[in-house]
Amino acid sequence: MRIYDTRLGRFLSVDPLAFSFPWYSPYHYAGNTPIQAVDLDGSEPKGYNFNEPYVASHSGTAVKHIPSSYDGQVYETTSKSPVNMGVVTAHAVQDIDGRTYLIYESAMGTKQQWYREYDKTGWKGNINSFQWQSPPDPSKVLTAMTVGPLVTLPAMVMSGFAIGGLSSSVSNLSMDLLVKGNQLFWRYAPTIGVVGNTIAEFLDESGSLAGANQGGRLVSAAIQEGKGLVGGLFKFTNNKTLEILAEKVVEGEGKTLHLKDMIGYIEGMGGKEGANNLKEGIYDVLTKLKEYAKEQGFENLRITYKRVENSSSKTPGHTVDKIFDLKE
Amino acid sequence: MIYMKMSDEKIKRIFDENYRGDEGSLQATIKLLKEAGYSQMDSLKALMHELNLSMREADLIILNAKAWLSERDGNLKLRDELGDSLEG
Repeated sequence: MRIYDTRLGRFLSVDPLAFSFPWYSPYHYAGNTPIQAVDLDGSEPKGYNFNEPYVASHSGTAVKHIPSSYDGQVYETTSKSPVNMGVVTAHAVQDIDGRTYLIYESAMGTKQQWYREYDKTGWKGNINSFQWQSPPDPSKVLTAMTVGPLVTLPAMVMSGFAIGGLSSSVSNLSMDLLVKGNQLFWRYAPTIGVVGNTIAEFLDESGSLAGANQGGRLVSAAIQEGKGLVGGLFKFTNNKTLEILAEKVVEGEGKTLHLKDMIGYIEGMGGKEGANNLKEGIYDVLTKLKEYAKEQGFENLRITYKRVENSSSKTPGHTVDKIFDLKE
Repeated sequence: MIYMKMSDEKIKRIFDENYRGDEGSLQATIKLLKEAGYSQMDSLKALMHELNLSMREADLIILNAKAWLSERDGNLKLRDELGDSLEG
């Protein structure tokens, strides 16, 4: 057991396994992959576990067949695409929330697409890439889509980004960057291959992966109540902090927890630009609030929230009244 | 975050020593709370407790406080996004 300094993000004593991992600093945390792994005792990192079954449903016409049961991780199938990608290979991957993604290996080119490989017991430790021939052909850019319950692709489309020493070689490329949970997918990244299999390290380098850190996923949540109020403190991967407070009202014959007139503050965003890409974090917060209500024995969570007057939203000043059915 | 404590001895002392019932001293008090390490939410709860304000009244003060001006745009963006998430 080693003492961990949260301010430094490092352990204070040498890793007992340092000799076996000479490429790491002996004081590193979770293999420098703090987003996808934890390091409970200071020895070896442990990745997320996945217990959710494979999501079999899918949409669109690009895939002819998706296996109906979970029996591994990467599935391969052929399909015809409406965008003339020809025969493609579809790979299904799941993210930390158990959602499933399809990644199409559309044709041979210089593109690569990265994905993490999981099985029933969790992250297998492999980060695979598809290798493509040159020259790059934009018409054969890899396509990522979601299947199952997630309808909207949670993608951040960016024009170039910097990854440490790679900034000069990739910054002038137009590329799409898909960030979901602790996963990172590139589309049209012809020179990214030299990155190797250390995606998680880049996620660890705050600022070096513009956008990934802005997204910010929840790393800790504390919800408490008292004095007729419910309050929550949420911390994100990008070191931002969100606090919420609402009046607690129990209604519907005790079946509904009503968080009335909820307000929220975020700290460390540094203005509107930095506050972009909050959706993922808010989704996580709402999920935690629903879990909290469910743990308290409620069947419904009702949130009322007054939009800011004169805001740029379509309904400034409007009071939002949302009820979540926790039995679903 | 003080969790659900609305105030504490330190907050009470800051209010007692600095707040005189006018806008200037209120802004100064909020600034001192921030400098003492209290968050926006801590300060909001302190306002509710020390000045007997409603949550909405205290929120308007904190949201527009000079001491927290650097967070205002982020807060407005957050609230827009939160509203969109709930209405969507």
